[in-house]
Amino acid sequence: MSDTPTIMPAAPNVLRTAMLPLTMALIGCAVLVALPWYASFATQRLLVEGFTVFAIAMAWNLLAGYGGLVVVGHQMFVGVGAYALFASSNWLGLNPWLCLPVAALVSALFSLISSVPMFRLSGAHFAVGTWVLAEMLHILTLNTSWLGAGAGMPLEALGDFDRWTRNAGVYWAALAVGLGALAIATTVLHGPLGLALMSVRDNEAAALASGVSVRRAKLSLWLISGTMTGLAGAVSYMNTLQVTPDATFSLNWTAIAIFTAVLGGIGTLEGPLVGTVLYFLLREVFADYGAWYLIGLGMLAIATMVVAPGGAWSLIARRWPIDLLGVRRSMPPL
Amino acid sequence: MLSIESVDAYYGLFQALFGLSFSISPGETVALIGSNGAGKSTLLKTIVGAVRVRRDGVRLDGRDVGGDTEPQQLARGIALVPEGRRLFGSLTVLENLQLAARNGRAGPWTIPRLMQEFPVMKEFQHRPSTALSGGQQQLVAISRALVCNPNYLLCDEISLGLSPLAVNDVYGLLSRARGDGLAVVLVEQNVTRALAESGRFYCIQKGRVALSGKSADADHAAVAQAYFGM
Repeated sequence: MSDTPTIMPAAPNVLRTAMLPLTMALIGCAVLVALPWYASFATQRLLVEGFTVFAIAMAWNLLAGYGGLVVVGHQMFVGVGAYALFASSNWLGLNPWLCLPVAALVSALFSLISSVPMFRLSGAHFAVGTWVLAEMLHILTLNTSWLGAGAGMPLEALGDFDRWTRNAGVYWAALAVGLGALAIATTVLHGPLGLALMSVRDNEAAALASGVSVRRAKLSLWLISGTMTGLAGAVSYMNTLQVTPDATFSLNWTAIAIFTAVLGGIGTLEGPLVGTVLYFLLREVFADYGAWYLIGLGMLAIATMVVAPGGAWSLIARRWPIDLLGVRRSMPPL
Repeated sequence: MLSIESVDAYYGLFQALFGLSFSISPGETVALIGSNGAGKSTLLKTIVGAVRVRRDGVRLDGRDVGGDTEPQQLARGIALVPEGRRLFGSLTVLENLQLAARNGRAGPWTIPRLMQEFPVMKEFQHRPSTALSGGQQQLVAISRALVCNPNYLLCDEISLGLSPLAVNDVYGLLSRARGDGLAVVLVEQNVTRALAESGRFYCIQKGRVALSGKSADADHAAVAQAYFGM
């Protein structure tokens, strides 16, 4: 008798409620995939930026919002991924799209190696440590002649493709990275790693007592996030055709990722999605105001943290009980 | 047989345990009594590996296992129910149990069995674990340790802040678990209850064993003296 409350609604209901979002998602995907045939190059390039920024912000949000790893030198992954793509394509004369897996692999390898020194640090030391590492890579590339030193490198092989193919190809790669980031983040958080991470976020002592290997959970997250960012960085620089140490290892990447995640809602899956949309809306409307635009962005981030620490998504979720990606959970009480 | 052999434990420069020895046999229930700050929780943390000790400080069935991590001790069958319950607030009751079950050992205690034994838990399994009463939370906290199928269950202040009725529920759950041959270490503020539930007791004072013996033979005046150090 006590079983009755746990029995879920009958199957037809489940089907009907699951069909609508699924159909909408499929239509949405079709619209996005077909975009190069009906949208301008400028729109495609803007969307490439949007998808890659989303992936980078999502990766940063996974680390900070779920793993408690606040990374200030997140641009190191962007730089490593982009340089790996450019270097491998230029040296081997390969199709850049075929080199994207190489960029992902190099990013994963870099994440693995960088975890050794970085994971010896914690809290503020960890945050600053990642920044130092990113700066070291910046200076290293500045002084490495076979990586083009201060002038950087163009992506030579892209010149072999006509303009339409180049733009559409980069756009599709970015779309794959954006959707892939969302799919991976959702899968990870629904799975055992997500449970482990959220238990650590709630109470590290109790997580250890429940046998959670905190180190392994954080390392897995670091690998996933680093690879995701590296790949997004690589695609992002296919859009601009040139890597330079100053731009590719710029702190701006981290600033954008933090801004996007904070504005949308840190520690949620929907946050970076909402944040990316808001960031690009703001930028398209106000970017002409120059310094005032940047001051405005900073003020907005501060206001968000003070007034709605859960970000824009928390305001939406508070009003309407929607659970877009099925892993909405309350933040732990302080 | 799980034992601690003349162990010193430190928090930084502060020494919490001074040459303390302790042992518990399979199937036994041992109570640890003592005032706040006496070192009871530290002793539990030392056993599970949350506080570092020398290699031969902790012995399990004749092997030196001191200084290993909590996941390692859990894999050997030593589980802790931490003080203050410490459920994972962003997970549901079921997810709290699933997480522990994944990291623990296989054995008689499974999530379906726990749900069967405690129908009330089955009812609130999909609720956030913090949206429960204190007694319910404590049942979940003990269940979370039980699904790891330990041989030794270390319970830190499991009746703290609970209503008398809830305390009975909690001890009811514990006695059912002991029916399966589980050894239990009880840290308990209520001395009468602790002695009633246990076969042996240790009274700890300022990081040392002040008194120990069979719970049934315990002389209340002597226990009180060992407890307060007067």
